[in-house]
Amino acid sequence: MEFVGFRNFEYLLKDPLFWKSIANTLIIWILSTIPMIILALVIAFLLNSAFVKFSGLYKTLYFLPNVTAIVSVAIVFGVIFAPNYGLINYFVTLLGFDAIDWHNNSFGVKLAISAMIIWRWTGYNAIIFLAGLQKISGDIYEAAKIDGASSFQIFTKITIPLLKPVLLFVVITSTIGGMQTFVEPQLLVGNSGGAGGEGLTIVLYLYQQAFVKNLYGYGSAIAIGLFFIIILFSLINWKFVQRKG
Amino acid sequence: MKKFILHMCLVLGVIISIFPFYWLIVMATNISSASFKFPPIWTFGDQLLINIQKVFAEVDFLKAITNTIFVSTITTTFVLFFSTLAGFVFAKFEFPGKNKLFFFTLGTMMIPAQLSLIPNFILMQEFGWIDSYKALIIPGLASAFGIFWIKQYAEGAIHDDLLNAARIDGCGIFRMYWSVALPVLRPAIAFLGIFTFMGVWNDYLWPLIVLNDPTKYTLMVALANLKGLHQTDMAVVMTGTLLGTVPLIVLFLIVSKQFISNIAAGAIKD
Amino acid sequence: MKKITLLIVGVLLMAILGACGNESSSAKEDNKITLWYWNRGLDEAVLEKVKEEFPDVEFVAQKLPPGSDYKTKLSSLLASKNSDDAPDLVLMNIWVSEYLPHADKFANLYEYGGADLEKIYPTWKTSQAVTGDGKTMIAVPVDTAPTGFFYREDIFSKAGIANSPEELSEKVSTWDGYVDVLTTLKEKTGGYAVTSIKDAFSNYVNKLDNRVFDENDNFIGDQQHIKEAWDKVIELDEKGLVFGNIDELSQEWNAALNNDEIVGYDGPVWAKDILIDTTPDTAGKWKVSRSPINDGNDGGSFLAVLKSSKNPEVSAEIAKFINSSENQITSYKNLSLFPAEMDALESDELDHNEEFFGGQNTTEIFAESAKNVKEAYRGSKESIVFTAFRDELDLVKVKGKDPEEAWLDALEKIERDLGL
Repeated sequence: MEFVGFRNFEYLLKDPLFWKSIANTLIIWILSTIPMIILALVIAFLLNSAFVKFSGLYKTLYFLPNVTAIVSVAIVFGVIFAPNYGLINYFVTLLGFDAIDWHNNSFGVKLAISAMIIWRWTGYNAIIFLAGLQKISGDIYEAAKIDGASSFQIFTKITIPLLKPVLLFVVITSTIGGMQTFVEPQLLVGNSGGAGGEGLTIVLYLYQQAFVKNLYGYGSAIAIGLFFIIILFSLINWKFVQRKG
Repeated sequence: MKKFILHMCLVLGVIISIFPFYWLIVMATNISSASFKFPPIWTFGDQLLINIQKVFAEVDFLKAITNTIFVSTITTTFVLFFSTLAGFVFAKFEFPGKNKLFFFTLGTMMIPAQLSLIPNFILMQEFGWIDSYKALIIPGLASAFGIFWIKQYAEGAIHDDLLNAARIDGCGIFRMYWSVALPVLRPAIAFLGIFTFMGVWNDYLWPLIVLNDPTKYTLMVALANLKGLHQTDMAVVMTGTLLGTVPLIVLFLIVSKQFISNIAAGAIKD
Repeated sequence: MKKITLLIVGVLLMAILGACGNESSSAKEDNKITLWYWNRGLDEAVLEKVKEEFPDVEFVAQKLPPGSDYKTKLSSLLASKNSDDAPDLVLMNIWVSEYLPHADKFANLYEYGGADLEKIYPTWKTSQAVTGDGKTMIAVPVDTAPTGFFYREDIFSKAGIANSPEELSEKVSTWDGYVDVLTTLKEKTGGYAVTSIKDAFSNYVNKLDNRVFDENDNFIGDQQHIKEAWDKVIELDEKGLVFGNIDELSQEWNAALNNDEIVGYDGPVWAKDILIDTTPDTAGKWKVSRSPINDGNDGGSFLAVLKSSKNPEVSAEIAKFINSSENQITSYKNLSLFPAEMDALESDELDHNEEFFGGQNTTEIFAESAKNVKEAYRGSKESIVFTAFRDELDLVKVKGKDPEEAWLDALEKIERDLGL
């Protein structure tokens, strides 16, 4: 091993694929995290409402995606999003539309990856929110109902503010997780990230350099770049969520 | 009517959630070549027992599951202990350098696992922990994720009045932690416990790197041995995965019944 | 309460330190020899025979998951210094050449009779595990992966292309003949025998006697022989003879085979078992002819002795024993590991008629192919080069990128990556 100084970093800053992988990661993060958090909040809120029976069963079923081993998830999603013989394209073409190239179309790849992330992590986050909801005393809801508040008002005026610390937790961990998105794109388009690297995320790029091309030093340089990006976003999140309350 | 619509939404969500799991069962109950058909086969087959026999013939399933329960239980116990203690202190006490220390803890979550693999391996080797469960358990004992989670939960859940009252009664920090914080944190602990347990259970790459002796393999490493380089009997892999997932589902059902649902509602009244 | 907690914590700590045991970290006995292999990578019946053949040795074979996971584990091991826990013998794949820069981590088999190995295995195979300067041999050949042209006989004969494997071998033996066959196939049946441009490119390079580095590890992938390969596979695409951009062995590929859209495949001998597994409905309809243009090789593994081994000499003997002529034949019968040893290839015991291939004895084809594979130096950095070429070929196929521009972009990327 030789010391190469800052050559790796110089190369990194001029590497178009590195910048592309950052852009891809951010787009996938936005496409997945926002719907995921909203869906998880709604599910948790519904499951916490008194009227839902069998909430234990529901929780278990929503928890299944996260517990299912990744091997089988890969196979199933491979079938769902396959471009030529995929399940979704089967229906898309039945309806008379053009098949979507989930592996190579710039937006299609990102949408498919986001869908996998949403699928795997929504139930998990819903259960986090549910735990958070349960520390909110039932009395507060009772009082609000007596005052004639609607469900929506209760949700936005009571639930969300009291849930703030847990919400912050979910937002920060989703950010860290989102910036490190790796398994889903690798399963869908392989180590290359698909044609033109449309599904190449930062960590997938890191993995490709370090473990496929044996450029471990360059992989480490990518990781340091990633580290700064995550810190930056975590700080932004932190300030943003802190202020909101 | 409104309730009906809400229920329908929940049911729709459930269908989407369980679909891949349903497919897993479909594949585990059919022969391998069925999975290559298009349009795919949707219905359960009658091959489950045969596939289970194949799994048991290929890997020492019971040994692997015992190993995994051992590693998961110990890791989870310690993670719960350290996370609740540290998270409680971070949430409710002031001390110099607290914010910096906390950010540093969070920082450890920001390094991608793919990168730390080789450095961690070298470290374990320096300690002489290769091929031993120490390499699996000890690096995972303190979890930044767990500390962060408990801290966020404890901030809102543990009321300062309670702590003050305990202080006036002459309680030390550990006593406050044990008698005041822990009961209130139960839903958070249940969540952290199940997900830590599940994480260790499903962990694959790290145990693969540090364990050599096949009799020590955890479940995921053992099941990975069902794959061939070019050829894999998909139905058998799926059956192995199914067998490895069922204990987690049972555990979740028990934990969620015991902790998350009912007890919490009554326990946290001021 | 406090005491109870501390007690529990204490007991669990003891449990970790105790039950995890120190037996593993104790020094290895001097006569113990450990081997790492992956599932179906070596024949377990042969490994049992090692114990009889070397009674003084405590032989332990540890089975690990195959593929990139195995490679990651091996890389981690080689990256570290302390070698007490390291195995003596490790199975390696065609990626053996990526480890040539770390030849100092392996026993040099030239010190343990490596020169003799070169006489009994084909040179194109042994040379894959020899450093560029020709001084160090790091591994013993296990199996090889000569290629053949798998095709659907029913469809090919209906299209009037060929009525026997011999006839087809003859027709595809030149580039123009191959293009003609693909064109007729497409026009008469709508079927394809080329899956993607990038795989056609890799297959083509596998037939050459010069790859992308010379023996001093200078990059030669920008030279005429590679550009010619590039231009030829682009020509296939421009004539509409490439199915799409899917990966071989993927689910999509399987589906295309089952739907009679991909009806031929220039692939290695191990693809046989995959075809048999994934397309049972087409049993009896497949045949194998010789590969188009030239025979090639795609895969095949090696067995290496680590430098850290306390018994390199015995370990090398075991490696040679596992791959003796007789044992290679057994491994072929049990696991379809295609023998690397030339004498084993001549054995009648390999011959059998295969129902899936309409009663054809395909071993003949692959054995002949194995004899004709060309020796070509691979070097340790091929993955950098092929990643760039394949990425650009993706763009040509999917986004219609100009092939000349793609070629130049690939070379530029390779130059930069090789400079890192």
